[in-house]
Amino acid sequence: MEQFEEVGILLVEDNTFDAELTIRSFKDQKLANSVTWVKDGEEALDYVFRRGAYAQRTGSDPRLILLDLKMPRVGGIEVTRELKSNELTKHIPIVIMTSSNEESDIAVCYKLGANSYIVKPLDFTSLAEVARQAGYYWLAVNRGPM
Amino acid sequence: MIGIRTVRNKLLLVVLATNAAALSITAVLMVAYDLHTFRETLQNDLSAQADVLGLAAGPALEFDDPEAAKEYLELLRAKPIIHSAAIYTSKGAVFATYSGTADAHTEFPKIPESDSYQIRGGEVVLSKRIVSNNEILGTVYFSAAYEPNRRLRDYLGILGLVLAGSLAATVLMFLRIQNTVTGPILDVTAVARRVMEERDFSLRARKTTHDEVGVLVDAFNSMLSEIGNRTTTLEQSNRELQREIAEREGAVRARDRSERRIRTLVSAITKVVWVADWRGHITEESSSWQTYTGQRFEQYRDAGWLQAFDEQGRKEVELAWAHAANVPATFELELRLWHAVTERHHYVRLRAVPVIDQDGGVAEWIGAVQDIEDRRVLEQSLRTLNTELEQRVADRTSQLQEANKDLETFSYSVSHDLRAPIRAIGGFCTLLVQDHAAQLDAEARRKFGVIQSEAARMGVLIDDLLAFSRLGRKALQATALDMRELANKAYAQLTRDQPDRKVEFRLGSLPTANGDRSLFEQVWVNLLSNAVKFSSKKENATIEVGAISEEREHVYFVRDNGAGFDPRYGKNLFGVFQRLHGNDEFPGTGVGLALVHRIVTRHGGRIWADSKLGEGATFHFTVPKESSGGAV
Amino acid sequence: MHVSERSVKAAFLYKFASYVQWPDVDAKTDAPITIGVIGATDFARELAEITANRTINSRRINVRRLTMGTSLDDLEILFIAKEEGDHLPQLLSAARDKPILTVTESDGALSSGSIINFTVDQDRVRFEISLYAAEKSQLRLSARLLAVAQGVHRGPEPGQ
Repeated sequence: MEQFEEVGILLVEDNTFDAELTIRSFKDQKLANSVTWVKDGEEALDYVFRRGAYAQRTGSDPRLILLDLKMPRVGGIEVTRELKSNELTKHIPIVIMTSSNEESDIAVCYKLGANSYIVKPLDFTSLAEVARQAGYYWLAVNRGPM
Repeated sequence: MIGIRTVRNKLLLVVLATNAAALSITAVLMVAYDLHTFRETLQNDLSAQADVLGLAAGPALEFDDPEAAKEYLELLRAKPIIHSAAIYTSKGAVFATYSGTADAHTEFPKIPESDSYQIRGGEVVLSKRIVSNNEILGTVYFSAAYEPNRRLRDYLGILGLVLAGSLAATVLMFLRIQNTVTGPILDVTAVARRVMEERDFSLRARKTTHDEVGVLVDAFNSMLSEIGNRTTTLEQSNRELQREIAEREGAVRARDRSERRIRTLVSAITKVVWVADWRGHITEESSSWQTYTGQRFEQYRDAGWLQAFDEQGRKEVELAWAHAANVPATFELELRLWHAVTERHHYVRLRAVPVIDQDGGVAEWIGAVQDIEDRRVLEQSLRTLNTELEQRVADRTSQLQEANKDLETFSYSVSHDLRAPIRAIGGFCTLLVQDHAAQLDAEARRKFGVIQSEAARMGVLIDDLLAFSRLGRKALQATALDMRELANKAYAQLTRDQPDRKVEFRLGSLPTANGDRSLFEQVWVNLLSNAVKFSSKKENATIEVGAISEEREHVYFVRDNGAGFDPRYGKNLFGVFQRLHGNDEFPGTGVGLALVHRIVTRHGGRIWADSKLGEGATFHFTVPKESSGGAV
Repeated sequence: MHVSERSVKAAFLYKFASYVQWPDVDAKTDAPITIGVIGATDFARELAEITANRTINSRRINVRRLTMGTSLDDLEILFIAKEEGDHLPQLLSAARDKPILTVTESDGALSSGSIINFTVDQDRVRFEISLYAAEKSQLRLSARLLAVAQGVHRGPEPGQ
């Protein structure tokens, strides 16, 4: 996986192609120079908490986490729970991007503290648009606690 | 005139009698008075006459002039009533005489000492002294006619005429005005007579006066009505009495008949029948009991029959009887009774009915015993069968449910998982075209375009499939839905991206329905999107939405004037992936209507469509008024 | 029995009073009737006897014997006996002015001016009346008296 100098968005996605498309769309929108991609929940947590493979990570916390739900080992819900229940990390906005439209999932996510929930559309254009909008909002528009 | 038998004649008689009496009394009094005055008048008259004469003749006496005296006496000729008169001297000698008649031999009596007035026979004799200056000069003597009888006769004659005339007038007047008195009486009499003859108590007399007769009429009438009422009442009660008697006789006959019938019945019945007294002691022989239980009469009489039951049964019967002693009512027990032939206890139903006598107490008990052994056995096996069946059904149901669940989970996850590759295909195609546009010619680009669009279509299909499967697993959450609002929202949503499409959307008022909100959103979206889609080729597209409330359901419809469909293939309309138009004509997956169909049927409704090719289609669906509960 | 002529005349005389109405009767209702007799002393006496207990209209009767020259005042009746026949005219003319019933018994005395004059007719004492004289003396005589008079002279006597 590629690592960029400045970390902005943490993309947690197990599907390679989906990830590629998402990153590509961020790139097109000029939001991409700070996207880190991890393939599962555990890696994501390692990354945020600077442990495991990322024990030596320097750099700030991601400013936005795009999270897929269905992942092997540690899933999106777990990640949300972990991050949102931790004082140090609960400020990080989490946007869940997933194919699942299950209401139970949605409810749980929000309950856990996810900031937004987006269903992944089928075609790329829409996906790109969605991602862009999300990114735009959370990165450019929203003012998070610093 | 028929004598004095009528009121009128009586009245007449009374009037005449009173009149006659009054007149007679008056006459008598008048006559008496007249007589009296006559006498007095005569006396006064004569006396006065004598005085006058005396006064006139005084000087003649005083101066001894008999001739002058005689002249005066001659004046009496003017009074023929005086037959003779004389003047005597103070010494009682006749001084001058007068004789009214030619009779010269009239006697002149010696005059009394004092004035006198006597009536002798038909003559009245008067002698009056002539006094002047307190000296008696002489005496005047008269002898006059006294004929009262003639006068009386005359008087009476006149009175008689008066009486007769008055009575005649009375009769005439009476005849004329008697009607006012007797008329009403006669009227009432006539009515009374009719009532008596015809025995018609509905007649009434006419009240024409307000006197005692009027009172009589009123009393008469009220009596008549009273009688009428009483008669009616009497006749009524008479009839009722007769009816009652007839009823009673009928009842008695019926009772006798039914008694005979019962006895016959009892002996004809093949069931076991017994009769017990109020204590529960069998008093009569029951051959059926004997046949069944094998007990002989000496054994089962009184309370012996209880022994034929098993111990449990015996207890139950005793209990029931103790209870029934307080509350005499029919009771039924299922017990086991000894069956002689098969030499074991059989299940029987015992039914005891109390016969209540007219005081409310129990006269006797009639019981019937029915062998239910066979039935029991049957019941038992039926029960076992039932239980088995239920078990099997339950098993099958849970199997089916499981299978369903599996199926739906499978289709869900499959369609879910299929989305990712499709995304990749479409996405990478786009990237390809984007990033390597220089290396691709038009044809290559076109080919990629095909891949893209087909991928997209697959995605739609999968989405529809996803929705379809989701629908199956989703639980129905029924609420009251404002269907109009849903339809409106769906339409707005659909046409939001096509503002330039000229579609006339007529949305009527729709009744509230009971159903799952998100599902019916889906229904409206699908139906309306169809309507919009298939009328896309028409210039003036009209889409109508309305509903009718029937007795048990609401019937909604969506009508468009678009392309329509061939009604011959109508039944395929709602099948999954069934399409009646090619993709080139109108895009679509064919899942939409299947979805709607699923949703509607899950709510217990029906959906159908009719159409005329080229003129449009109308889709109807019903929602039951009572929630169907939703099938799983 | 043959009653004497004078007795009859005496009886008649006082009876005349009943049939005479003197003027100013009211003033003298109680006063007695005075009969003056001139001449005939016996007559006067007899007259007095007869009238002793008698009244005329409740008036008592006085009899006075008069002689010639006696005043004629307070006389109701004056009887002049025939013995004084010669003095008749004097007496009568004297009495004429007064309301006195002059009674005479002389023939033709009426023409001398007396009001009543006795006559004898067949042994019966009768009298004649001069209404003229009565009027002159302001006396009224009852018609009943007139009725029993033998004659009633209404107008003046010849020579009056």
